[in-house]
Amino acid sequence: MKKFSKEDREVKLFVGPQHPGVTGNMSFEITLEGDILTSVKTHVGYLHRAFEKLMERRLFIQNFPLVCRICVPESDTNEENYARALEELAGIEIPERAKWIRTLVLELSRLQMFMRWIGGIAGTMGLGTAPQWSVGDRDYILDLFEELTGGRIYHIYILPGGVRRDLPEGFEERVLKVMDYLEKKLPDYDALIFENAVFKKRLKGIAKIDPSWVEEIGVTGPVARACGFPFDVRKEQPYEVYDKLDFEIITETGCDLYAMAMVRRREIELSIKLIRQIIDRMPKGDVWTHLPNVLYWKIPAGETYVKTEATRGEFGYYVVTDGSDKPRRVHVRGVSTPHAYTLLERLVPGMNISDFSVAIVGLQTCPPEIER
Amino acid sequence: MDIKGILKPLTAWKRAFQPPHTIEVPNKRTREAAERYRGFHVNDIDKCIGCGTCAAICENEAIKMVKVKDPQKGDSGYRPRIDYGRCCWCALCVDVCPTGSLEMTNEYTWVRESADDFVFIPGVDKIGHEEKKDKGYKKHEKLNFLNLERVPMRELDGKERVKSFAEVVLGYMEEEARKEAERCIGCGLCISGCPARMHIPDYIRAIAEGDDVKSLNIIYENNPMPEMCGKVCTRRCEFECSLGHLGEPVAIRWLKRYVVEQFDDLKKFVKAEPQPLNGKKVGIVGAGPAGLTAAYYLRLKGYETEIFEAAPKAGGMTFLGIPKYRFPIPSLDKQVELIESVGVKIHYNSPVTPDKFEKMLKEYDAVFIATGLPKGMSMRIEGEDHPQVIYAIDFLRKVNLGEKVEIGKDVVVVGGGNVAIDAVRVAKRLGANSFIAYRRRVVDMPADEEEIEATEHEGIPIYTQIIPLRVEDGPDGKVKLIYGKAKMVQKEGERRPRPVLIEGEEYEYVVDRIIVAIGQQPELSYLPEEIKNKIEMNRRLIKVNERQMTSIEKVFAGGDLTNWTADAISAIADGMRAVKGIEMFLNGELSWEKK
Amino acid sequence: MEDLIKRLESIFKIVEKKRGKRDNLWILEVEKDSLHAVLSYLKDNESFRHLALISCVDWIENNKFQLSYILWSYQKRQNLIVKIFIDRDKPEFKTVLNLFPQAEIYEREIRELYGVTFEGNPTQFEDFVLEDWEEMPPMRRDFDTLKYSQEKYGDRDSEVLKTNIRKIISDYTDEWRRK
Repeated sequence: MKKFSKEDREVKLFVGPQHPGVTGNMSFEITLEGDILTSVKTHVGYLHRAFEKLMERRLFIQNFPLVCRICVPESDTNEENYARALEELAGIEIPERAKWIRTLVLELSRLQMFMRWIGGIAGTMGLGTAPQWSVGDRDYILDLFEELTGGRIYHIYILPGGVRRDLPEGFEERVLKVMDYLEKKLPDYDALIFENAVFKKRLKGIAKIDPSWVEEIGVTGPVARACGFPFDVRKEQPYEVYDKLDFEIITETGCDLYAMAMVRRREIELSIKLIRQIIDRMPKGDVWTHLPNVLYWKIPAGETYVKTEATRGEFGYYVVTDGSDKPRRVHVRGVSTPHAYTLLERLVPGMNISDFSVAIVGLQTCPPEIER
Repeated sequence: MDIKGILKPLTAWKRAFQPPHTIEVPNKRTREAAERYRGFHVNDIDKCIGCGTCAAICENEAIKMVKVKDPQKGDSGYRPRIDYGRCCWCALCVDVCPTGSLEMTNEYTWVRESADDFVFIPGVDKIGHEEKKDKGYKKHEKLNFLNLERVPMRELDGKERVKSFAEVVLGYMEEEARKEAERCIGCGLCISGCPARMHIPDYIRAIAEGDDVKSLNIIYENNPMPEMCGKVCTRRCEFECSLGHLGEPVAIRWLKRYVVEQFDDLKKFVKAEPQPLNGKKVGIVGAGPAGLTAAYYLRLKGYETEIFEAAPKAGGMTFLGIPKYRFPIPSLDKQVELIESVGVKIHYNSPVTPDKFEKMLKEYDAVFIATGLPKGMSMRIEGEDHPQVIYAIDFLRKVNLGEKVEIGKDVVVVGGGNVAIDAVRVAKRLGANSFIAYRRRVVDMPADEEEIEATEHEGIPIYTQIIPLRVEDGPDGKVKLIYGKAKMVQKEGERRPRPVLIEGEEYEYVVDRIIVAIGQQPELSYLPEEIKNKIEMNRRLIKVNERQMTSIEKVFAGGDLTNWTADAISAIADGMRAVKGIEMFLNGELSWEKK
Repeated sequence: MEDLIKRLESIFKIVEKKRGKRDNLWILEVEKDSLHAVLSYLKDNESFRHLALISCVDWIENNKFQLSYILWSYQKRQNLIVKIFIDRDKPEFKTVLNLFPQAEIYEREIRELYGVTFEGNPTQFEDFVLEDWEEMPPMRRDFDTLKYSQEKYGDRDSEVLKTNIRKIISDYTDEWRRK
């Protein structure tokens, strides 16, 4: 029998740039030996929109329609981060109620993103029913956003100085109704997915992370928490009103995709719990404080780095101002940059090709935030 | 074997019998969007003033201002046209709109074959969304990107004021001025209100940016008496301010005042470099705002200018007519000093006589007359020549010249204009119990609203709908003003109701002085008889064309003498126009034959 | 945190130290030659093991690039921005890959968008988001996006693109002035 050299045995394959589980477009150049991957190279660049460049040319307020588009499904995280950075640099205090409403919006946004993620991970495994459920249920949250902010996806609701509008009348009850509905439906999701034998078998032991990598390469969010690290920006550097809410950081110890999935599953419950708390404790009052004339708004020179806990982890904004009416530099820390590159490159050797797409969705790699 | 895990997902079948999330289309209507939904724009075209703020804030350049009609006062004539290929429905334009005319409906469907149909002017191009105006993203009273509240101006307390002629308005401090200037959105609509067309947004922006010298020089481009305007201007710019539609207009007048007050010695900071003399001479009669303006700018252009003034000081009515608690002498001196420093010659205490005027016509290449309205108008009632009846303008002149004026204890001022209010406030400061009698209602008073308010602070009553009938001698050396009451009758086709005397009723005021302030007229006795007969008049004023040319060759006129608005800024505007006219005339571009 | 800064100051030269506008943020400027030593010290001795981001700022007027290393300590719960300035004419620096493996991507991005090269980073010349890019690195301040798009894609005859609201305001205010 003829012996093949390593080069002869290897096959190079392009995955992407379209993938149902990934928001946006990114491609992977994988090298296979039989069924087994030996290496991966990640390529982004399919949806580079030069937002950071554009933001340097626009007034501070004009950047809000841009920042919300940096990460499509989690627009509020971006708005909140950018608004908070500007408030910090300009020294603006916002009313208490605005902080509560922002937190509510952020939690709703996290919740809808988790629902969307259920669709993604189930879709990659061929479990077709779950995406239909979760995307449908996510729409009830989008309805709430539509009612609150006037937009379903791009809300442009959080601005420096507060939020643009107070809650509409009866909004709280409608939020609670949706929460009740989701909570009632969660056991069904458990039965359908999280306790599904196929789901467990496909995820357990896959993409096993060495816990020492987490701090080494800057892994955050559910991926880090699945390795037992209690890393959660909401607790370690509380922003808005997270320091006034009662919750525990969710951790798992499995270090594999299943553990990550279970972290997210429990985060759904946590989000629902937090939303109830917020609505319960929200004070009355103003939601907006006056800004200087936004057409000529100049922010004193300075720099800051602010971050929030997005569904994928630490979403950060590094904002530099130079005293003019436009930002000098806005650099977005895409959460999944280390996940999609460094972490994935370490996880892939030895992985079966059929698990690869599950892994990229399980790590929640998100190209729009990697390349902006 | 995970039996449970295999069987459990089968429970999902129960969902098969539940209704779907989705709405069936087209059998059912499309779902109506939420009440706050950001859909297509609607624009209330009559409310819109075309200030362009929506276009300024649009990050996508989706909004273009398109000219739909000729500009009017306070309306640029432009309207926003929206390109929905660029619009991202962020509604920043709605939240920034100073009038609240631009809104969004919650309508999100608009289906057309041509892409061009997605570029339209809401309100002008009707697309059928206008009817659904009540729902959608609207301006919210609590959220406004514009700062609608004016930085309050500090004033002397009413009780304190009436004791002296100290200035009532105290002026902005630096921080206040910056904050107030910062509110300006730079739309430029104020320019439509200003007779002199000053570069208002530019100098306000300079204040906001902390560059007072730059601001001062922008102001001096077309106003040589900014401190006067900063204190007593009728501020017609502020009535056109786009922020005034939903809030308080920018305090343009106070900001101008702030800038000029920062500089004690204007000569050091105003970059006024007169051109070398070109040999042509212009003679000016009257050193009021119009005369000074013409003299200053003509001198800067290289013409030799000389002013003849009857009073011991320049300033015209701003010196003689305006009380010192509004416009103190040092402020005036400062400005006149600058005007004289560029080489304008002012001859004080030199009234012009007919002979002298004849001489001037020969000596000078052009003559500009701006002698204003120095004479009070008569009430034309019986007994008006009573010695205790005086004209407000004479009264104010005497007070301003420092003469001692005896007015007694009780004083009635007849009239409702700014002069009447000045007179009544001055009388109060002289210790009299003065009050106003006006023939119409308070809302009809031509006086500035702020001035009317000031009388209230100072405890001065205003009696309205009073028609003076005759003047009689009163007891104990007093004088009686007999008057009747009026009712307001609105006639068709007339702008405002007119007062009609209620016959048969007579009342009287017994006072020490009656001050008449019902208007002023020009004094043209210095004109030679021949010219006086020849000069074309427009009722009691001199008629001029748009270059301030009168019907007499070489003679230009301006100020209160020619315009009916009779305020300082219009006089300055006249002066500016005369500069242009005289320059063109002396360059041969303009002549009386072609007029 | 002040103690930490003092300890740092005793070992390294801190060009400028600044407290951020909130409590748990400090901004330190160090000399570029000592950056690796500072980062290594912070990582090994002071628990700043999480490198959140490497960013670059173009200070074209000073002819400098600023490189910012944003660190986070889970133990101290402190953010630290360590920044250095490098010459804009000679945009070269050394990689921090040996300290933080994820720096590879951040440095690759900065290399592509600002043209700063990092000695020792093996993959920095691979494409990040741009392909076949021959112009000046696009995030530099002197890169004119509008000019590039007009040259590359042609002027699209877009009326709106050329309008400027300030121009229209001067149009109508001039109209009043003429009257």
